[in-house]
Amino acid sequence: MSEYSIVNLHQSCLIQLPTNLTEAEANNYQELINQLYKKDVANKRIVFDFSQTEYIDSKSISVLLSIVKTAKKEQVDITFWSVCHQVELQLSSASPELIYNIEAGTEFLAMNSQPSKNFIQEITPIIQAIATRLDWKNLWSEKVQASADFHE
Amino acid sequence: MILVTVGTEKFPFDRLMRWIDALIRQGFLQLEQEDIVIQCGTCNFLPGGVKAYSLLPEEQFRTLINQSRLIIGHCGEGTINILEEISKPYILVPRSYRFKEHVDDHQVELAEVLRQIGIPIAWSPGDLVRFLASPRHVPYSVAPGSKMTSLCQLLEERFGQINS
Repeated sequence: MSEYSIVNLHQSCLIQLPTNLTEAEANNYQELINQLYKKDVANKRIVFDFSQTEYIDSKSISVLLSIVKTAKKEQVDITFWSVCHQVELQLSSASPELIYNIEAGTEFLAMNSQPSKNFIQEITPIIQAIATRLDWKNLWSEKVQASADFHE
Repeated sequence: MILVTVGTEKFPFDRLMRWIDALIRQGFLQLEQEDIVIQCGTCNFLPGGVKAYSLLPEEQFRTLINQSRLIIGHCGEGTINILEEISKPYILVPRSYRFKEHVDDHQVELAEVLRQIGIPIAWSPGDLVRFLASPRHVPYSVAPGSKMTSLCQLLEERFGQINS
């Protein structure tokens, strides 16, 4: 869980969920939320960022439901952002009430974390030109430095 | 003050407007503490409580940039050309053909190229929040450097200007 970011800004907290949310990780998040509730200045809003989440198992959904119910008792708002269609279907089939926590208007662009080796050749020519100039700048800087080192 | 700019494309960028609205509603942006100014272009949706201008004269736009604490911009070449001249933190949000925000995905491709050199790119509203919590400026330039400018001047002196 620690590899994913938790951001506190003003009195709101953003928690990014992992690509595959399994029961063990969901329990870790529940423990994290419980610790947040114990703080003197509690977050009034907690947002779960699903932009990286592609799969969630049924046990995790149960844990999420428990988190949402506890949040209501603690008067904390729980919201889900950027839920992809597949995860939304999983949520709606297992616990339809969780759908109401999904905030509309938070659609995201899913990007591969590692671009393909042929990425530069596959993209629009004008973008290729920009990318090439960026590489040229770096190569030129290396050559200038190498020349300076030679003359010293 | 936070400046949000979506350029002058004929396509609306309502997705970014809804992200800003979500950030305001969830408390990540506090209107009582900081103004949010939006150059909204042809957007059909605007977050509540912000100052919005469809288009701005360049001088006024540059004034707003100078006054801003950070900038959230679409990933257009014109915007990038202006932002690369300044030292304010900024993050770029690419328009997507999938959401009918542009004619193709060239902004997405450009964003991926810029991401690889460390320019902050927001693929989701969560990325905006993470940037707001830790804004940073990454200097770069896609324009030819001073050495290329010197080469151009040399070529002009040798061969004359093209139009002459």
